Amino acid sequence: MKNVIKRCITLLTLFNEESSQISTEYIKDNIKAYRNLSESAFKRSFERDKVLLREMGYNLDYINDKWSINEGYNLSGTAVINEIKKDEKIEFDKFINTYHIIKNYVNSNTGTKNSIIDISKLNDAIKNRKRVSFIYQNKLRKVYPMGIKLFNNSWYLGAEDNNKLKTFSLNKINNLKIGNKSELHDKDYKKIKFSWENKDYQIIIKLNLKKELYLINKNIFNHSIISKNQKNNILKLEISTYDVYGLLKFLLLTNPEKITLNKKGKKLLLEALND
Amino acid sequence: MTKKINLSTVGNFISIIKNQEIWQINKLLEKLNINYDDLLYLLTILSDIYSKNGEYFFDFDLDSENNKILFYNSVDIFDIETITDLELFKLYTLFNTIDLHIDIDTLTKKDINTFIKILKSSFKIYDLENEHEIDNKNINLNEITSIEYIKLGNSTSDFYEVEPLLITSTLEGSVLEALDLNDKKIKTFLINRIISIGESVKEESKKNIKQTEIEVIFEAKDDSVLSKFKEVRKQNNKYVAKFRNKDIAIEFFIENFTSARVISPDIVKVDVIKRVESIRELLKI
Repeated sequence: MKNVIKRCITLLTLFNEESSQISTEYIKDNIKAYRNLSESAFKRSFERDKVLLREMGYNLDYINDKWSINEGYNLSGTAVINEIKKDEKIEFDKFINTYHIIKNYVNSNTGTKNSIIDISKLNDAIKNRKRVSFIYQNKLRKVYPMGIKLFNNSWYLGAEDNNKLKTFSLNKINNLKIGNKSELHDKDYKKIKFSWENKDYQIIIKLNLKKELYLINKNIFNHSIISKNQKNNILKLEISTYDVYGLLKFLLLTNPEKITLNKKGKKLLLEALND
Repeated sequence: MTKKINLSTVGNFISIIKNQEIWQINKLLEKLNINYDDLLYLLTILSDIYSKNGEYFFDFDLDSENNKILFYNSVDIFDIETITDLELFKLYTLFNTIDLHIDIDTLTKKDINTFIKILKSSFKIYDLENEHEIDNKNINLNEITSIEYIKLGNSTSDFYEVEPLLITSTLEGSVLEALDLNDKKIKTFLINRIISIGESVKEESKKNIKQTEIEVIFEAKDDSVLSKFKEVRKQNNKYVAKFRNKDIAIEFFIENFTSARVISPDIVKVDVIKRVESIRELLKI
């Protein structure tokens, strides 16, 4: 591990010195630990180091733009902190100090979902209006990303795909690649209707359940409360939601004794249950 | 070494020491949250890195007698940006999920709020407004309190007297690591299953139930369910996963009913089917 860490830090410093597109040969020649390796051993080590750096948030991507003379590796992944550094209104030293203290109490290194590892690329694509491609449910998609949204502990991407606005779970996005060209569109969606917000699927439901069960399961589905009454430990709720699958999950987990909803709502939930 | 030193620890180390040339060793250890052996290990790694011209990147003087360490701020290594967008985004996600009130001696509430505000404005550019309610949990780290908690797989709450130590994010969501003062053990509590904090402890409510691990064979109707496991193995066309106890397994398969179907054991399968049938009964037209 010691050697891997050393190689990765050396890689970061090399990119820091050169900053622009660096060829594979240049990397091999200028990093002592790579220099004496055979071609295949170098490739293995380099790929492993790239994965490790990616897990930390650094992207080492090979840039091969057909219109550009230069090609080679670029390092990215620190755009946000660089923006914060440049912002004169922010006391940067204080920000960094707070970051380090909070990091001692908040351990965010474990259980990183694969989905957010690509956040830096998505950040760049959304801000600079670029196109991205990725594999989603075994299909290649080329989309214009518009925004992301957190729902039930998972992030979702809202993106335009063939002039239609679609939502993609970041958990299911693989092999994300970002295009080189910026400002490819001028669309601005202030509000994206995500799949769980489709008005055709609105359900209004009345139910009675234990307060505790509501509290631990309420974030499983997107909903708004129409009315709420509490007697002892029992909550009487009237809820509106467009999230059929989320509501079904909520009902399965909380197992209420009685529910009241119209025929259309029952039909939608039964369809989801039998799916 | 008490702590696993990884690339992230090294990045954190560089980020901290570049702010100041001379450090008191004990203060530096505290800030880095590592021990003296870890520090020596980090110094060994970094002092062994050379620039492409064969020069040292990193140089220091360690004066243990006077509890001092001096770093010669060579330009190269201190120019590396070690705080990535991903690291900041992980914190942003955590603050977006739970309204945490972290009480830390060395930071004021204002410092924390300013920090969160900067993070929010950095990512808010494209983060569409969330309508779901953010959990408001007032957790004061390192301050003894009591929590009312519903264990995974259970539907009734227990009370614990704890000293909250650390917030961690896991596959199951955000977790509070805390010292249980009665059991004298560090335990983990899923934050979204904490019902209340600081309420009086009901002595009679806590029971120690013996946990028996259980292996469940299931079919995945949707492969995304597999990402919810730390470990899962394929057996023919089915999958096998281990759970801490049967109640946790039942809750998992009830929650993921639309994406996974239990094959065995019956002890889990029957309860999941019963729950599904009781909801089906309620939905009868």
